[in-house]
Amino acid sequence: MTSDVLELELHAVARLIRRRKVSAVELVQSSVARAEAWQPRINAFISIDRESALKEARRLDRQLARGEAIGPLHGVPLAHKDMFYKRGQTSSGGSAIRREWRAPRDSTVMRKLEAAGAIAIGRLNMSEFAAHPTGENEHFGACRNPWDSSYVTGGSSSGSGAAVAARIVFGALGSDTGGSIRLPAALNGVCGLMPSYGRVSRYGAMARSWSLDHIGTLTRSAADSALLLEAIAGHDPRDGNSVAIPVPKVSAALRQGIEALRIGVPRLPKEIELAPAVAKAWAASRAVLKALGAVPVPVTLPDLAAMYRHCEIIVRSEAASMHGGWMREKPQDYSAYMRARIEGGFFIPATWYIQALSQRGPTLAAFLERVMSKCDVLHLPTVPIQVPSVAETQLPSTDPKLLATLGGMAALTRPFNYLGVPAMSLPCGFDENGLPLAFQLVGRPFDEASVVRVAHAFQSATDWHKRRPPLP
Amino acid sequence: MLEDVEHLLWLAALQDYSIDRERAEQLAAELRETRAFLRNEARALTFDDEPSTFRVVQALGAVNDE
Repeated sequence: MTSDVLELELHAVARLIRRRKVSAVELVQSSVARAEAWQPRINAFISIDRESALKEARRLDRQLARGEAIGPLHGVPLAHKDMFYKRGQTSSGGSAIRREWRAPRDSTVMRKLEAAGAIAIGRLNMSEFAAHPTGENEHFGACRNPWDSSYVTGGSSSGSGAAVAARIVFGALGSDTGGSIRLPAALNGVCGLMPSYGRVSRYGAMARSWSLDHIGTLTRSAADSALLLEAIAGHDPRDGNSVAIPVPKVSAALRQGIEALRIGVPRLPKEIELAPAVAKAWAASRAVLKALGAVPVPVTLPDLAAMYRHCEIIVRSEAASMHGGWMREKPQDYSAYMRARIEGGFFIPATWYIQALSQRGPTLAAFLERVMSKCDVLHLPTVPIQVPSVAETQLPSTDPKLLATLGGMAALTRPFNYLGVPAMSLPCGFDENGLPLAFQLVGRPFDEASVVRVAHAFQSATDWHKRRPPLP
Repeated sequence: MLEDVEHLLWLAALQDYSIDRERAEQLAAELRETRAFLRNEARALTFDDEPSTFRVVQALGAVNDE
């Protein structure tokens, strides 16, 4: 077994395990060794759990040897943002407050991944309480971009983006309340899928904002995201917002191609200024889709800034509600940034919060009517700016320049949390600094299949997703 | 201005939380901006719109391959 196997995509390595060409133990050993090699440079892990992962790998290898039924992810090493509960195990949420907290229950997604045979080799770094878009974390140390550690990873699923990009694990779970899967996916050059609101259970996952949280995946390819999504999606009565709609065979949709599929191309509002490298990569990716047979269609988006502001009201109100006790008792245990983000919610009138929620239905209806009736999938950049350097983001937490950068990062991701529609970021080039560029695909409610299908077609014609940072 | 700040300090105290005057001024400015935005947006809402409308629209707009 060589570390070459770590270069494979998840679906390919899962096949090798099934054919017993490689064992789960060998894979876990390689994966952990690579995690340890990268850790000093990128700090992707809060904890690397070598012994428990090897124990599980040995159990799965014995199961396979006995010829027992196995799941689609049997023996595959993964790792997840440190916010998905495992009963009796620490789940910090990237916070000092929960640094040693042990979860009283299993999250649905972790149970499903275990049932599918996946192995978690550790807990991944993340922004404190899933709230910072750059991946900064003063409690566990910032996670850094594996393409160049003087650049940020994006957040809040910072470790998920970095660990998948560094080819440490074959996939990772993240959560997305305003871009927290898609931003680190974009900044690290991997695929980040935010499924529709209600598609994946939030039960046992730490909340950032109940109304806007989506659990999703970060993977090396669109095909891998289909496989992981099928493993974690589905109705769960323990999540009050989980939807009882059957999960489509997303993997099967990959083979359909995109001939004559309509790709919505929005004219972006003038206040969203695209960096030239981002605009160029976006146009180039559109040309690839067109060459594959897709038909670009101009569309006009609803007011993105308004959706962004509604999200801000919702997130602040819900965060102030859920963090209220700790904010009163131990405000010093939060970072200044987090405290400032939360406390604004104490002063938002309930009527404003309800108005922000009430506007959501009409806005989604308008989006479906004006945009998605004209196209099958929407195509736009994930992040308007290029990957920021660490220096650019290390200003005082209330500095207006910093706040503008942070707000700008999520300008094209957050509105889709408000709409609750599926969205995926995928790599499409590199800028002059050698940092990844990305675009985003957005679908109709519960139409993850079309999103992943277009992404897969793009990746069948390009190799951006196969590039990886040099080993440390 | 002063009235807004005093109001916010009182509102913080009402929730057993505390902020200083400088922070209250910042928050007051943010809230005034949000109020201006919401006043404009509220015109788009009808009497029958409620938060759960979102789930209805989502379900009606759902794409299901099976």
